[in-house]
Amino acid sequence: MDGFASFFPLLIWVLPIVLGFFFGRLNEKRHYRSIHAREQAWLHLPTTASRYPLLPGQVARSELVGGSVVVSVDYFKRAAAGLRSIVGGPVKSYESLLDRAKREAVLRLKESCPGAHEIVNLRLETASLSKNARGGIGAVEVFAFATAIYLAEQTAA
Amino acid sequence: MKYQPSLPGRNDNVSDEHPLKDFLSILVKLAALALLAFFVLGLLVDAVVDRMDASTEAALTRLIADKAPGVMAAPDKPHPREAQLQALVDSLRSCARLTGPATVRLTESKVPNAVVVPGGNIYVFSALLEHVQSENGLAFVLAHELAHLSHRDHLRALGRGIVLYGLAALLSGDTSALATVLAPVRQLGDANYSRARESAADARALQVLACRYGHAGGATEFFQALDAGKDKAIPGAHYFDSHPAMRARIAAIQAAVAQQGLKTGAVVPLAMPK
Repeated sequence: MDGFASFFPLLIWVLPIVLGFFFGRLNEKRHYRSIHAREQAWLHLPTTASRYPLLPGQVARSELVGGSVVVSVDYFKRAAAGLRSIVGGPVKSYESLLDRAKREAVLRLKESCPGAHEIVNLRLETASLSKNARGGIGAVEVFAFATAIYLAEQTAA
Repeated sequence: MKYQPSLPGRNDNVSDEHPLKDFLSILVKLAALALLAFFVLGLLVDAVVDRMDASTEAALTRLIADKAPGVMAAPDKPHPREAQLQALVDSLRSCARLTGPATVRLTESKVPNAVVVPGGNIYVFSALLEHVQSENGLAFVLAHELAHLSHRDHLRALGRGIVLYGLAALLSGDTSALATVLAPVRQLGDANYSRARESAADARALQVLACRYGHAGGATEFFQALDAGKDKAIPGAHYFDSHPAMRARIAAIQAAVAQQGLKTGAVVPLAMPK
């Protein structure tokens, strides 16, 4: 009937949101599991934003290290943020997205220097890809960069 | 100070609540607000249309008549059937108490229907003529369309359309995307209102028919023919129909006939030129 056919545009609009919700949730759960396990594994590596190392000892070598990640927003998160933009308030659907991105970037930074004794000067930068381009799916890049410190042999614990 | 590595017990940067809660609460509140606004503004449109004087209606009709979809140029020489339909409409004019123009156009279509477009043009689809056997049956359908004209139902529909697109533009910033999404929602909400307008047009058409022929015979002829031709109905489909379901419509007309004490006399057989 005529009435049912006119519901197809609505379906085309709703389907990506439903898919985005289920796949987005699944991905997020899996990502958080990975983040928690790796953060636990890298806990031994002190990482600070300070200019000075925490650990005593002679610095043998230091290097610039970085880790970056690009995460895309799913249709559900975007729809939720779109609704939020009408009434204002905290965009809760993006909170976990950026939280995951920042932690993943720092983990990748740590994984890039397995032999380091300490990380100092940690900085985070975020960049939005495809800014406000129409139809473009929003993605965010988080870049973590820091100085990795390698202590001299005799003082290294 | 000794460095003691540990991870925070909980993450305060991410809210714990289910993501659907936020989404649905905003969606439901906005939808309720928009529905309320549509309802109130719809009543306002009715009030304005009811109070509109004839000259304003004529000016408004001129404004939209050219832009209405499906308006074709008048043919050089009207089809003999079209001339007969026009004569029938003209004979209903005084009973319908119609002041504005009413021009009948016959168009080829397999859909048995008739529509009225702004500017007083009534389009009769050719398949409709196969579904009526008597002049009375045809007169009822035409009187129904004339009732839409005199009730200014096209102006009401136009006003509601403007309200809806205005609300859509207000909420989304543009009408293009949201309009397609809202179209079925509009149909759902509008259908109820539209059914009420259709029932009102049926009631008026019954009075016109009784006035013209002295009895109400043939009033349900067209709907009965449609109902007989309908093989199966999809359950729930009537919620999307702008017209009342056939059987309910027939029953309503028969109830009105009984209530008003109208007689049903012999119908005039329809003789249509080829």
